[in-house]
Amino acid sequence: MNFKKIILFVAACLILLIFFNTTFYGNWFQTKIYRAWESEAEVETFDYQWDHMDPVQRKIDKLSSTYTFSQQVAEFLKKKGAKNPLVLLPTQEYMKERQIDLIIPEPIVFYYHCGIKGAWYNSANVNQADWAIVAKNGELTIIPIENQPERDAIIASYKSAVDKANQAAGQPK
Amino acid sequence: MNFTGLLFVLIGHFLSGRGTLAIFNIKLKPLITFLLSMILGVALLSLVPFIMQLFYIPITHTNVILGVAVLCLLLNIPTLIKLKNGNITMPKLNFNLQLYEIPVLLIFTIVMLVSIWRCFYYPPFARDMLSGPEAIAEFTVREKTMINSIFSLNLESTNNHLKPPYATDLQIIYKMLVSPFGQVWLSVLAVSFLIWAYAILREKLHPFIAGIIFLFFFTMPDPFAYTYIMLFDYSNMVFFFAGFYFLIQYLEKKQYNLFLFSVLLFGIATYIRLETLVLEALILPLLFFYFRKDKVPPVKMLIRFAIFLIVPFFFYEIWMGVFIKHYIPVHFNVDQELNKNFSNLSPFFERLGSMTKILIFGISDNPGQKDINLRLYGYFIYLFMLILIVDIIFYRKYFTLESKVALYGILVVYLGLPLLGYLIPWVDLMNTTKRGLYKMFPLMLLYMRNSGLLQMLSNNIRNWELPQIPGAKQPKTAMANAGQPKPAAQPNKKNKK
Repeated sequence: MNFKKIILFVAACLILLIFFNTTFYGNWFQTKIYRAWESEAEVETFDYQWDHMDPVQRKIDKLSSTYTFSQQVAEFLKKKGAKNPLVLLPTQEYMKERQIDLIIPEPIVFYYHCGIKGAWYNSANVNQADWAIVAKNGELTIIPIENQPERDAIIASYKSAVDKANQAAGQPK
Repeated sequence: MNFTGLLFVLIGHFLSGRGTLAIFNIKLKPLITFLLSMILGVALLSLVPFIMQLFYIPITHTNVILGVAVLCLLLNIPTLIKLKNGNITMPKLNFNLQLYEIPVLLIFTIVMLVSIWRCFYYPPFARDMLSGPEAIAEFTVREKTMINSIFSLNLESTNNHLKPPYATDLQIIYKMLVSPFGQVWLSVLAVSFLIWAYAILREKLHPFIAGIIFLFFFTMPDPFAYTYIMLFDYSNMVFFFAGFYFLIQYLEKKQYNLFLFSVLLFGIATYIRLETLVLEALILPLLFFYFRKDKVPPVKMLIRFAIFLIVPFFFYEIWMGVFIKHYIPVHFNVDQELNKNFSNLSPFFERLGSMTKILIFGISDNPGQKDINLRLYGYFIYLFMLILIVDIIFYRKYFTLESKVALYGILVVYLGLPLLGYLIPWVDLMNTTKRGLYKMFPLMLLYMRNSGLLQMLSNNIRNWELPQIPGAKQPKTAMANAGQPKPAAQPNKKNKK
């Protein structure tokens, strides 16, 4: 073995050592790479992931509440025997107003997660919605929409939250 | 994970890519041929479900397998003819890996293993994917058609369902044949590209220097994250760079096949992100300059300009003009997405300013954006700037054609992204522009392999490591390319004395 090659090898090791001991790259390696071996968030580690290979579990771990929320809605509607339901989805402003810490997926993502169609309060087919997600006593519930006045009231509550948020942000209605 | 399916798809990538390289008569070293075949093959296989949909062929498991097999067969007809005539020689593999390359390559392997695992393990989670390509792919697998129930939804919250089919199609293939979340194609692309990038550096620089530059390159935090988070920009960067690389090869060697191959690669970059067409139009002045220099007749010049734009435009039109207009039951008008007030140039300069200030230098009054350049790209841009400044001051005469064209490419991206922001208002700073800048980085790498400073360092290490034997063949260097009469004129310390 050429002695000069060994010197270059040692130099390369030293450079790596210095590189990953700098605050920036050391921190990057620790938080983005080494995290796979040791992390406060157990779900990020190889050990945990190797033991949890079920695709549904992997979705729950990564997509968290947006996925589980969609699944719960689908399960509930299935139990209720709803056929081709269209669910009125609350806006994020509504959720904030009702102090519920949950991100509601947009209709296409909701459909992707659970195969059920959703609509926003300003969607073209909003008047066909036959189920709605509303907040009661700090919790979300799924209710059937029996008639148009009921539907209008729910839409108004979603819209009012958006208007209030826009006003607070100084934007026009 | 279906390993048989994975093997089938990997072979499909290789064969389709290898066949295309043979059609264009692209001759490269065996390792580069393999890597480029895989890169090209990722994009080529992505055409399969799209073409099937264009002909209303049901996208079933069997049809996809047949589609991949037919594509590979068609693209390899010239190779098969050569094989029949006995005109093919087996490549000789020669991995001349040095001991001192191992530390950096070991770290690279560890980092990429983490990336591959995450790419496989995590479900797609980028919002732009879930609200478009991924959702369409998932329901294509279930409903056997790309025009599926996704288009019966309220799509007012997104335009991601209108994005080109590159990622959608690869997701369809991988979901059907490899794993429920698909996505692993991104690892195939990223690993092949990064090894190719290292090989490109190593061709002209001493492996020790190449390793250090490569270390800064693959540890760029944001691009690294997109080696396992599925989106369009990483792939777009790879093919845009490959287009530039072969354009440079054409300008150096004047072989027309290299020009055509580069045009194909730019076409694929457009097929991944349609806006790339604007950046490609900005390359025309460069072509004009070199065509004039080479005294290309005006008619020939016009034909080449036309080819350069028509091929990417074909990829644009087949999606926007044919598929979206005539297949998808959603109306979309490009004109509505464009800036209406062309006389007002201030959005261009504002974007140029904010991109430079915030994304390149990390200067911002917003505490969340302060030093964001480092959080996104590490010190790679600063490293490039430092090397460029030293080169401009001390090694001006060693600028090669490759380094000049690479710098032009960097300028195209630097000016092209604000131009896109000006033309298309939804091209924002912190998403589209932030990831659009990726296209600069491999071009910076290409510049650095020609850098006078790094060449000088490389030559010094080479001379120290292996003292010159009279008459021994010298490695190809930027100085040699710059027309230096003798290796002795290379700027190493001894020569300077």
